[in-house]
Amino acid sequence: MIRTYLVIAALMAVTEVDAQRYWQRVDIALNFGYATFKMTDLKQMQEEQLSYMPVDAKITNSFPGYLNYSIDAVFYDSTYFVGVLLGHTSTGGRVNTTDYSGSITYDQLVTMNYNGLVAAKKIANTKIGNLFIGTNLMTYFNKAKFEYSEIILGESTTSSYTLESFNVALGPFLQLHKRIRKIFLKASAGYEFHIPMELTTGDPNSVYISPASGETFKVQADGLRLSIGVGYALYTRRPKE
Amino acid sequence: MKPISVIVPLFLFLSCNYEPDGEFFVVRPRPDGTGMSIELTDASDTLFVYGNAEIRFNAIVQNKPVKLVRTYLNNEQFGIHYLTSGSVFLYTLGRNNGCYSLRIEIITSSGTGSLADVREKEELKVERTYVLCIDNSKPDPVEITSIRRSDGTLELVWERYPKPNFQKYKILKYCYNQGYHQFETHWIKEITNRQTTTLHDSTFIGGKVKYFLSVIAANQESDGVEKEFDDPYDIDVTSESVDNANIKLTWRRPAYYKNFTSYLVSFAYGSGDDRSFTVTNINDTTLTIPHEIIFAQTKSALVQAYPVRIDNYHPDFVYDYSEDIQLGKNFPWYIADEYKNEGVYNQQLGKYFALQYGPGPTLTLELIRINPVTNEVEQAYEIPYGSQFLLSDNGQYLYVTHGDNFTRLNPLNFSIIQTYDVSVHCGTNSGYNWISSIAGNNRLALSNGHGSFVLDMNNFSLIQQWPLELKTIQISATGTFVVRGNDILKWNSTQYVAAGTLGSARQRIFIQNDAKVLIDKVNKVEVVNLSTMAIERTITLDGIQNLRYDPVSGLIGGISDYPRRFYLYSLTDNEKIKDFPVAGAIVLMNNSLVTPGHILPLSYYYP
Repeated sequence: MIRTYLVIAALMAVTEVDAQRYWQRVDIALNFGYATFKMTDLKQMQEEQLSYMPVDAKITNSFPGYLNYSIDAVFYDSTYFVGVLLGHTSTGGRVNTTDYSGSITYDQLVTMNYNGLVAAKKIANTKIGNLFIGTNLMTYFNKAKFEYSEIILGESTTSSYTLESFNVALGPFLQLHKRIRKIFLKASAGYEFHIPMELTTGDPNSVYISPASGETFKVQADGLRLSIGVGYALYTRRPKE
Repeated sequence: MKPISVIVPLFLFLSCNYEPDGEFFVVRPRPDGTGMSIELTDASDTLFVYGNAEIRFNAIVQNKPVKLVRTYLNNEQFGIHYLTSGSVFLYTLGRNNGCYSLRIEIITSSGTGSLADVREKEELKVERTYVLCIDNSKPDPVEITSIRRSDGTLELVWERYPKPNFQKYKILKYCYNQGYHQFETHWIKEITNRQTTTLHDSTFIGGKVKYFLSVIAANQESDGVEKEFDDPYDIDVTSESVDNANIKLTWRRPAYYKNFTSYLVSFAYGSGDDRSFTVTNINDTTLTIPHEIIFAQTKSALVQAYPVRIDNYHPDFVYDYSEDIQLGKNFPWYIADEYKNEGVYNQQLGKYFALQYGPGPTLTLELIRINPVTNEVEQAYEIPYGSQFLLSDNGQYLYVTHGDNFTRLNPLNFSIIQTYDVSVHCGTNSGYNWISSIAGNNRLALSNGHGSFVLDMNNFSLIQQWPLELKTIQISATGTFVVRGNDILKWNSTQYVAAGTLGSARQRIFIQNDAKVLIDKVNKVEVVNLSTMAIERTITLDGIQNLRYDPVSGLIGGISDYPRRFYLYSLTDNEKIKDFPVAGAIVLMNNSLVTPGHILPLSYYYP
C-alpha cells in the first residue's frame, strides 16, 4: 500500500509541475461504483467446505457485487486523456449452519487494491457531455482471508488464515464527462478481464494447495465495473488561438 | 498539493469492505430424555452378589447412542462400560459382607442431530440407585427331609436354602448294585433354582438308593448330607414249560410305574443264549418264548426292570434270575464224564446206582442208589476214595472194590454182607483196583498185569486162572461166558473153554441174558449171537463215546465229540435211527437220557 501511495504522489507531482507546460487540463477525480466478480475458484472452495460440514449447511453469500472506490488523475488533450488510477474493492462468501445449539461459519473475505494507467479517446460531444471510450490497464493486489468459526453451546473456536495474489487486468469502458467550471461529473461503465495469479501464503513462491482437493486457487475478479465520479480541475489552459 | 495528499489516504482509509453475513438456521428438536431408563436384569431393587459378581443391566435409551455406563458402589466408581445392555463385574471378596448403595449411571448422546450433538457436547444422563448386598459366607448344609414313593415315582424333598447367595443344589444319586452289593454313583444333578426343593427321580425303579445333597453358594460348597432309602422290588422271575419248545416267564410289576420304561428279558451269562426281548408295557409281566435248550443244558432267564435311563451305560435297574430252565428233571450229580460213565440202571431192582463225591471239605466217595421215580438219592454209602462198584445185571450181587478188597453189599440197603481179599487167590494188585466184572451167578472175573482169574464168590474159591498172561477178562451177565483178550470162552460145567474169537474191541456188552454180545469196535458194533457165534448185524457208528445198551428201551446210544450230538441205534437197523444235539456226558439208561444233574425221558426226542 505504501508503495502505491508513493507512485500516486509521484504522479501528482509530475502533474503539478509538467502538466502546466503540456496538457490543456489536469483533473483529479474520486469515483464510487459497483463491481461484480466471477470468483470461480473461491466458489469452488465454498462447495468443498460445504461438503465438509457435519450437518446440513448452506452457502449464504457467494461473492456478490460490491462497492468499488477509485481515484484517478488524468491529463487531457483536446480529444483524449491519459492518467493514472488506484482503487479498492472487496467481496466475500459464507457457508453457515445454525441451530439452537450453535453455529458453524466459514467466511471468505477478499479485498482487492488496484492501480494502473488509464487512457481514453473522445468519441462524441453531446448536450449532456463528452463521451469517451478507453481502457484501464491495472494490477490487482488481492488478499483473501478465510475464517472458520464454531460456536457450540456458548463455547467458540475460531481459526483463520490469509492468502495473497495479484492479477493483471484490462478494463475497457465508456465514460461520460460533464464539466461545470472546474468541477466535472463523470459516469463510467466497463468490464474487466483478469489474468489471475495463484493464491500464495504470502511468499510468492509458496502457492497454496488445498489439503483436501490438492488444487490451487486464484482470485478471478473479472466482472462489470460501474461508477460515477466527481472531479476537480487542478489546472486549465486555454487553447492557443 | 496538500488537499490531494489528505484526500487520497482518507479515501482509501474510509473505504469499507464487504462483510459476509446471513445464516442458515435449521430447526432441530431439543434434547429429550423421556422414556430413558435403567433396569437391572436380575433384580428389581436389591441385588445379592458374591465372588466376582456380574451385574447385568439393560438401559432403555430410546435409540440414543450410549457413550458410557458408570457404576458406583457407595459413590466409589468401580466399573465403566460402553454398551447399552451388558454387565459390569464387581470383585466382592475384598469387601465386607453387607449391603451397599449401587448407582448405575448412563450417559448418552442427545440424539437430536444438532451441532452440539454432532460435536458430542450435548449429553443425556440417566441414573438409578439400587441396594447391593454382598454375602461371601460359606453355605450351611440343608437337610433331606423325605424320600418316599409318591404316585408311581420317587420323591426327594429337602429344605430350602435360606440365603440369596445361593448358586445351586448338588444332588448325587447312588444306585445299588445287586451283584456287588454296594452303592455306585449313578448321576449328579445340579438345580439352580433355590425355590426348587423337590426332585422326582425317574431313574429309580425299586430297591436301595442313596442321595447326597450339598449346596453351592458364594462359590463354596456346603458339607453334604446323605440319606438312604430302601423300597425292595422282588421281580421274582418264574418259568414254566408251555410245550416241548416254549417256556413262559412270569415276573412282578414294579411299584414305580411312572418311572418304568421297559423290561429286558435275556438269559444269564453262560447260558449260551444271547437273545433278548424288550417289553415296554408295564402290565405285560409274562413272556412266552422258545426256550432253545438242548439236553442237558440249563439256562437262567434274566429279567431286568428299567426306569428312565440317563444314558446307555449307567442304568439303575432291578433284576432277578429265574431258577434254572432245563429239559427234564434234576438228577443227582453223580460222577461221570463223556468218556467214562459208571452210573447204571438195574432193571431188576428198578434203581440207579452210581458214585458221587461226599459232602464236606475232605474228598470222599459215596455209593448212591437213586429212585427212578423221584430221581432222588435213596441212600448214600461212603466208600474208600478210589473205590469202584460192580453190580450184576440181575441185581443180586453188588460189590465195592478197592484194591484187593471186595465188599459185598446188600443193594437195597447197602448193608455189608461180606468182605473179601482176592489177593488170597490172585496175589496182590499192590493197592490198585482190579479190572473186574460180576455175573448173575456171583462169579467174579478179575485181571491185572499178572494174569486173569475167575472166582466163585459164593464160596470164595478160585474157579479158573490164566496166570502170567496179560489179557483182560470180562464175565458175561449170567456167567456162562468170559471174554479173554480177543477170545470168548464158554463154561462147560467144569471150566471155561474156547468158544470162538470176537476180535479186538473197545468193549463187549452182553445183552438179553447172554443171548447176544455187542462188540464195540469204535466205528461199528457187531451183534454176535452167542448160540451160533455168528455176527447177526453190523451197526455203523458215528464216532461216538460212552456207547451204552439200554435193556429197557432195547436201544443203543452214545455221544459224539463236539459239536456234541446223541446218536440212537436199534438192534434192527444198521444205521443210526436218530440223532440230536446234546450237551454233557449223556448216557441212555432206563429209556432216559441221563447225565450228572439231569434226566430226560428219551421220548422227548424219540420216537
